[in-house]
Amino acid sequence: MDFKKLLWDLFYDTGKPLSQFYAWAHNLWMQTGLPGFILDVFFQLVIAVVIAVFIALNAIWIIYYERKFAALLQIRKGPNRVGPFGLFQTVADTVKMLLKEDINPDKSDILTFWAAPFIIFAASFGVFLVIPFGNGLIAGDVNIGMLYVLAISGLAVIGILSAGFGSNSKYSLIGGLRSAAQVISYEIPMVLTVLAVVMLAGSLKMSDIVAAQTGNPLKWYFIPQIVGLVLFLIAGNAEINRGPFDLPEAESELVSGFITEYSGMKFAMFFLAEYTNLFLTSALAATLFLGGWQGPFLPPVVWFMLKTYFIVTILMWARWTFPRIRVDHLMAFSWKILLPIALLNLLITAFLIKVI
Amino acid sequence: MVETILFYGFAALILISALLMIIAPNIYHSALFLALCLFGVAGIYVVLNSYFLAGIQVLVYIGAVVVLALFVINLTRRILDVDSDQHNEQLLPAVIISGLTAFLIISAVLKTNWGTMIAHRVAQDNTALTGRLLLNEFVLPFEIVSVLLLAALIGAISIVAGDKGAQK
Repeated sequence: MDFKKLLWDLFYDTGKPLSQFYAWAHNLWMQTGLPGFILDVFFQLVIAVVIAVFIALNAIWIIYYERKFAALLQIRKGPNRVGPFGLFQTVADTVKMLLKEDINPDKSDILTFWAAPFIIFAASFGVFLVIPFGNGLIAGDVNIGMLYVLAISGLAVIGILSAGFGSNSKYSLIGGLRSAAQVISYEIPMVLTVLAVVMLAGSLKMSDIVAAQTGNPLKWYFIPQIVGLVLFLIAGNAEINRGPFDLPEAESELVSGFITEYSGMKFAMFFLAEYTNLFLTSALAATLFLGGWQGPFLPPVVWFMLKTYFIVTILMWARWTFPRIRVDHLMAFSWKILLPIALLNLLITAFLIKVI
Repeated sequence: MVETILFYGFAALILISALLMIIAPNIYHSALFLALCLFGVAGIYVVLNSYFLAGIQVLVYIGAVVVLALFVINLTRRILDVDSDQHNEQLLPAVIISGLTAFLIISAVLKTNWGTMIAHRVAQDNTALTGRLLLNEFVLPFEIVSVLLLAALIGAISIVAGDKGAQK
């Protein structure tokens, strides 16, 4: 076996060595005479664990990055005590969360109060199935890719509403209701912009959407769909309840919204889900509009991460620059401005596809 | 083998969550179990290779219908009280109607000749096929459904706007 070629394949054509390894393991397994699906289930569990580890490590980094970036914008230092440059600040925070008492408020509804953080985290965890990290580096390339993303990420609303209901607190309830209304409203312009990209690519499959944009940056969809990219970033930012759209947890009026009553590890789950969603929205924007993992010279995974963190930086910039908007303006903005632009964008895209 | 395990797993999920939905004393829990039940149905679609249908099932039924139900429950104060009764007094009509429905379903199940029917697994990439069928062969029903939904939308807006809309 040519070691140099294997290394090259691992970085630039990751799908090939992985499928070779799978075929080798499958052959070996078949000689034992046991049913083949046990091996498949085992591999799927391994992939799930890898993704879970990635989410945890990525969250540690992204939270540190957000705090440093916010400090940069506000001309202060940010975390700089734990470890070199304060790098272990998030680790210390996580340990603190783990050691905290797990409080159930009096008269809270136990089932919904406990289920909410898990539903929210499961919704963002599930989306990782179809995120193409690199050439062939995708957990499950299902043929409804983009539809799957929209369906699964929509489940988070149930968790948010349950958190609001189960906490038995007026702040939580109002926060939960606001969040649900906001997520449902902003889902529509988001779906319409995604639809325009799906029409251009002619497929819902993530690998097809990436392949349709080719390695040439001039053919990436941010050029024909520049309106779509801006709409997607605005709607996506509202979907994950961040930035100027953090009405559900507006601390000046609602204490902390639907997470007011949560503490310890359950609070950490909400926090983890929020930063995972930030990463996911950026990863989707990079995949749909910036050519996914494609790019010259550097390995695909590096390109994917660079593009994703470019979008993450834009979203953080928006969060720490704009003031929070009012709740009635929020709804009007979605229904009266974003929705007509998204519809127009879709119509023009469809027209141009047919004409050109 | 795998399909059989998955099928019985999802079937058990559907039946158990449907039962829990009926007997749960708290109406919010009922709505959550309904979501679980619909999720099981989506799982059955996945077992049958109908990914598109499964995605739509989750997106529309759980992401929209159940969320709307949860939203309304959260906005309604009295039905959340612990001692509020979730049952009404219509025992006799309920027994008659559900009995009739059960009779219809069971007789249909018993009369069908299952032995000759094989569950038809559709082709892998049926999403494009579904779209093509909807806009060619079934374009008329598709458009009628669209117009119906549009009418419902306008009706809802006009009810909400009420007289205020007429005055402006």
